[in-house]
Amino acid sequence: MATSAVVSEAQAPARTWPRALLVLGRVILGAIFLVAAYTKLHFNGGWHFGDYHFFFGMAINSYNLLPVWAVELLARILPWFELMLGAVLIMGVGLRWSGIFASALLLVFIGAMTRAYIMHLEIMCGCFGNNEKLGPWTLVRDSSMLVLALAVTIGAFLIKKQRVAVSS
Amino acid sequence: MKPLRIRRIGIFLFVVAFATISSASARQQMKTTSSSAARPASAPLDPSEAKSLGSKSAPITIEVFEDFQCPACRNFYETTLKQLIDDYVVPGKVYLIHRDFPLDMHPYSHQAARLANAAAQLGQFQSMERALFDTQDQWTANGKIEDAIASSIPPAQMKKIRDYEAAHMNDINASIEQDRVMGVKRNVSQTPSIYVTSHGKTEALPGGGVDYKLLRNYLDYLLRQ
Repeated sequence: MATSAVVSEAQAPARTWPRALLVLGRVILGAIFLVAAYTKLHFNGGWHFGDYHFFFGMAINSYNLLPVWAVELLARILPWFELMLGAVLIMGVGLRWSGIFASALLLVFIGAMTRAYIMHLEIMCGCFGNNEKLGPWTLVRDSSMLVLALAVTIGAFLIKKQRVAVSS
Repeated sequence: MKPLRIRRIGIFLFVVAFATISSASARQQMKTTSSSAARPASAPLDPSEAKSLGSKSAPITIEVFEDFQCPACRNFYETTLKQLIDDYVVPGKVYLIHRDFPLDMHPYSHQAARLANAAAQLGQFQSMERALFDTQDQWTANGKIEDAIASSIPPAQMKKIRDYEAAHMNDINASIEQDRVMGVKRNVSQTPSIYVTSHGKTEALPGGGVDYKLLRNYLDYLLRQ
């Protein structure tokens, strides 16, 4: 009896910590996406619900990656997608999928940023607001976010796997 | 009809016609580009006005902080500003103001800005701006600005600009510095930096230049408001 009590006490923290870390990770990641969306809708001292896409479109277009129609479309939807993704991550709904989306999105961002940096394009990052210069710091920051997103995604998959194993 | 009444009607019609023609003429004058032609040589133009284009009463004002030696500024000028001038400034929809923001990293940008300011005081800003950007590659390589722009600015005109620059060096430097300080206050960190004012509100566009089609969409949106 004494032996089994010791084992269950030792196992309890091992199960709690990964979950707590996962909650912390997804809340931080979700908050980052919410801030990113906020800065694209609120800048120059006010909300820009009617014209945010013009400003964000100009920032996206400076990467010289997409045709203007695609730039305009992306500029319109991306802030709202980030807002939704941030909310879903914080709530923990469909965490594996939201983790995959966040990782994929960040991977695309970092790819575009790295390309622009290698090409010495002196442009705005467009990550948090429209007037943040692209540079080594923005690359390091977004890469850290990608690491966090990948950790959250892997964590979500592992916990799901654990649950399935326990229930079976 | 009595002759007195006819005369009164005639006077009334004359006054109405005169007032209409006067106001139309005033409006037309407002639409024309600011120029020093009508001013005496001794009275220098307001530097901002001298470096502007279009009607002050236009619904939109665009200020562009530029460095004549900056490649992004040349690109913005060639791909966006030229079209903007034709489509929005000339029809009176946009009032365009050039602001000097010479960057320390460019050794000849102050020299180019001084020439542009001197030309502006002589009503030649647009042709000088065009000449400086069109030949930027040449004078950036060796600093010989006057040689590079010689094909665009006639020698006699160039001499006038050079003489004006020499005679008003302090005023010109002060004007450039005034623009630069204004840029610093607005947190300008790169060129071109574009500010759009409409309906009493000024917005900073993302720095580094803007595609013409995107800018046009934004301006059309502002004009619809």
